[in-house]
Amino acid sequence: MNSSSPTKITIDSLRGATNPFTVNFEKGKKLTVIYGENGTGKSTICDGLELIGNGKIGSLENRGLGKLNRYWHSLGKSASDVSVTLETATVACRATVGKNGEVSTNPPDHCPRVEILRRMQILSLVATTGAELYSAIKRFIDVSGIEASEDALRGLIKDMTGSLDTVATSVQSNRKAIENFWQEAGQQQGDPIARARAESARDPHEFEADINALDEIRMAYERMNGCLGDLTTANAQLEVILDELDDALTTLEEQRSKISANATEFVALLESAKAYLKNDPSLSACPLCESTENATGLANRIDQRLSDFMPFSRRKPKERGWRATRIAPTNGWRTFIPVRPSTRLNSRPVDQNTNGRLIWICRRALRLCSPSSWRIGLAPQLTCLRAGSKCWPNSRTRSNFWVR
Amino acid sequence: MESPSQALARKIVEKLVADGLMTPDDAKKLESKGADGKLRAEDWRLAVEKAMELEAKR
Repeated sequence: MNSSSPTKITIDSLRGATNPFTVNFEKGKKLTVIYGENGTGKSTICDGLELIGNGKIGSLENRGLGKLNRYWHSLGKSASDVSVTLETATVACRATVGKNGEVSTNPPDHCPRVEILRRMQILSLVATTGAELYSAIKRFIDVSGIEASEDALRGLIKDMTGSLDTVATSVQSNRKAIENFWQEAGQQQGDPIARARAESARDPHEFEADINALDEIRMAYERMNGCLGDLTTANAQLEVILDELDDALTTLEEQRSKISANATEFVALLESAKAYLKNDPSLSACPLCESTENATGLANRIDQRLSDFMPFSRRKPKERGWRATRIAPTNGWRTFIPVRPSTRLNSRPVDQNTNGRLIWICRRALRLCSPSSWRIGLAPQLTCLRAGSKCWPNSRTRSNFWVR
Repeated sequence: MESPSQALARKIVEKLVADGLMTPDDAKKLESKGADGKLRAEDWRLAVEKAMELEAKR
């Protein structure tokens, strides 16, 4: 677009310009007023400006004339005779019409920018208000910079609106989650949102100790679940072992009874020999066979044999005032407490679900029943315990114990 | 001479400052950028946020 002010316009063979004529524009003026009587060519000047600027003649439009370019040239002229030249201080732009009515400008880059407001358009513009007024006049006012900035603002508003919708959706979802959690937690009194706000305001480090403790409990539970199978297997094995032990103890008791029957006489014999040797410690030969081969240390060997046979003798051990008392059968187990005869019993029920504890106690009982812990030193005492008979715990290891 | 864009930008900025949507300091800078069509979305947002922050302090 050439921004220079026009200096003159020359119109030839266009509309009423049967002869070429030129209009000179006053230099340095931004406004030019053309006035005159009807038919003096005012509209032809406007048509010339519109032809060179927009390639058309608006005064003929909307009149039902069909193809308009056949009316562009003057009477007695042809379309190719039409010429409009607009000159500025720097360049002259000329518009011509081809045989087919096409408009060409030369040079095309210097075509002036022309807006024509005819009577109807002026009346419409006057009657328009508000935003429509801006639409009507915006082609005359260059506020493209403001429009670009406004587009950026409009895009920002659109983005912010989208973000607001997203946030609103998220808030609604979170609110629903909080309310669901509130219901799952037992619907305590108060507003769940207010409670959530208060909780969210707390220092997150306060929860770390609780979280760590819960993690430890969870891991311990998992480990316990992992050991449960082993515990069950070990329990079954222990049952088998206990059964085998029962059988072995029964067999041992039977063998012991047999041995004890013969051992009494043998022990009496050994005690007689011991008494004989006590009266004659200088004996140098066996009084029966008179052999001197094993006479040395004979008294000691007799003592050793007596000691070995003592457990098989029929003589009962000396009581120390302790005995096991059966408290109550529980889940197939019987509770025994070694007490003094005058001690008041303080029974404690055995939890039926604590099999592991019972097993531990059973092991303890087995330990108590081991030869090293019993004065008479015999495992068959366990059989006595099972039958609810007396038992003879060592006074230093007295405690509650349970056997099945 | 003031262009239509500059005149409109001046009026817009005056209105935004009066409504507390833009600080007077930003108005001077944004008026010329707005008239030239160089105001980006982040410029608008920053200007409005600064104005709201200033309003909140009051």
